[in-house]
Amino acid sequence: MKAWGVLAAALGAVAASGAVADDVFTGANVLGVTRVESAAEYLPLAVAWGAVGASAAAPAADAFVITANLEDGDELYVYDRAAGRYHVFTLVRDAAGDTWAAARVVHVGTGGAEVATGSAAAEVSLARGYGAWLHRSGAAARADKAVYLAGQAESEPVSITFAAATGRAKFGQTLFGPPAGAAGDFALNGGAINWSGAVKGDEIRLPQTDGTLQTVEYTGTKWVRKYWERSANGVLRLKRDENPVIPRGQAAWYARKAGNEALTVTWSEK
Amino acid sequence: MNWVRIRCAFSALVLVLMAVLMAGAARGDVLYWMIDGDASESFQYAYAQTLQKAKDTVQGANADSVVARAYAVDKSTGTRETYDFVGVAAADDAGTSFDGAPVPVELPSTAASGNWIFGVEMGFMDGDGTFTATYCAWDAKGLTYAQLDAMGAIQSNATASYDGPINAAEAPWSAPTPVPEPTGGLLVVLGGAVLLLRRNGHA
Repeated sequence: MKAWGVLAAALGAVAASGAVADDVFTGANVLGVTRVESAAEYLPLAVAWGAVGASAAAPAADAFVITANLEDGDELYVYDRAAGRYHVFTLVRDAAGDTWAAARVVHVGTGGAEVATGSAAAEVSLARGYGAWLHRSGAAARADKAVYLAGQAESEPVSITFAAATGRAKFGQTLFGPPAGAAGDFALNGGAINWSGAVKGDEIRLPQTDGTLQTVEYTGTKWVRKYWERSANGVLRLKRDENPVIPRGQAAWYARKAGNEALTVTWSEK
Repeated sequence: MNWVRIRCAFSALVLVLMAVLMAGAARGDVLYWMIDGDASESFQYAYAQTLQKAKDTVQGANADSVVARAYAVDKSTGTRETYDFVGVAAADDAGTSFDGAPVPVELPSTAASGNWIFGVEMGFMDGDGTFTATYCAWDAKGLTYAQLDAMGAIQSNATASYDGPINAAEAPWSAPTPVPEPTGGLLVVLGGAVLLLRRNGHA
């Protein structure tokens, strides 16, 4: 049975049982779903859950986001860290069901230049704790529909490595996303990650619905989000948020300050 | 003959409308700039002078009156785009250090053409919201798209990030300068128009 079949059957069984919050389910597979609320055309998603049926395995690219409420033609951008490029898949909906068809491969930072034909989605693995992009082109559909991430809850903490800067003035860029486990948005200063090794000037950039990036800066001791708020006379004034979060199920860029080595952190939440 | 002219004009109008609609649908490149950290001496001077001028000119003016904004100028046509005013927040009384965050600016769709230059101007705002420019960064030459791109300050598409914003606090600042003189195509057009006028005058 395909992974989605296992997951759907399990979720169906939970629903049919009329389970209440106090019930405890035990077994080889503990499954979960994360609802992501966003109307963004390009939505960075966290690889929040593991592959169904194989503990600690990375999920395949065709099995981490539920396609039922996506549109035919939507795209998935999966970063190939070793090759430094994106595999792009297109959702094809026909009588046989939904399939992520390999569309193209694009290099990063070259304006999306097409360089080769991609691999089948099931052959490209994702890694928990990192991110992937979902491109939804239908504005009306995006406005009303959330995105659902699903998979197996893992029992091991997740380590993630933020890339080193590649040049004197270059930041290291890594798209990462909190793994599932804690309810609600992920608090950057909440203690789930030991940030020793982060340096003053490191940034976390949160993609916004309009495609721009909101910056959260590491001060040396904690993360602070500086943001602009429009005053009565139209001037943008600087504000501070000392408790920044990454929205549940979403991914963000970690921008490693130039001149610093790669940084590996471990999420203590599973 | 007239209907041919009308049809041509209508076709041109359709083309223009299509171009406008396409430009509206596409997301342009985004430039990130800021005023943050230790300021260059020229910026400190420009800030102090601007604040003093604001106090001398506007009753009740204070540090909140000092603002800055990014602008873009198409050198070939003289077209000038200006963006949001941003408060220039001094992190110390001496005005040697500033607090800021990246400000995203969506660039014109033709920004990469090479005709555009980009800069930041500082000034003060009176009670009516009228802006008076006092100084500008990188002087009238501004920065070209290629320079900004090489500095890593441009986010070229929605699934990309950028290296770092350009920091106007570190830039050289100079006295206010007018919009750069139009060059290239516009000068040819203007030259042609002058010649035509002179020729008509002699006829």
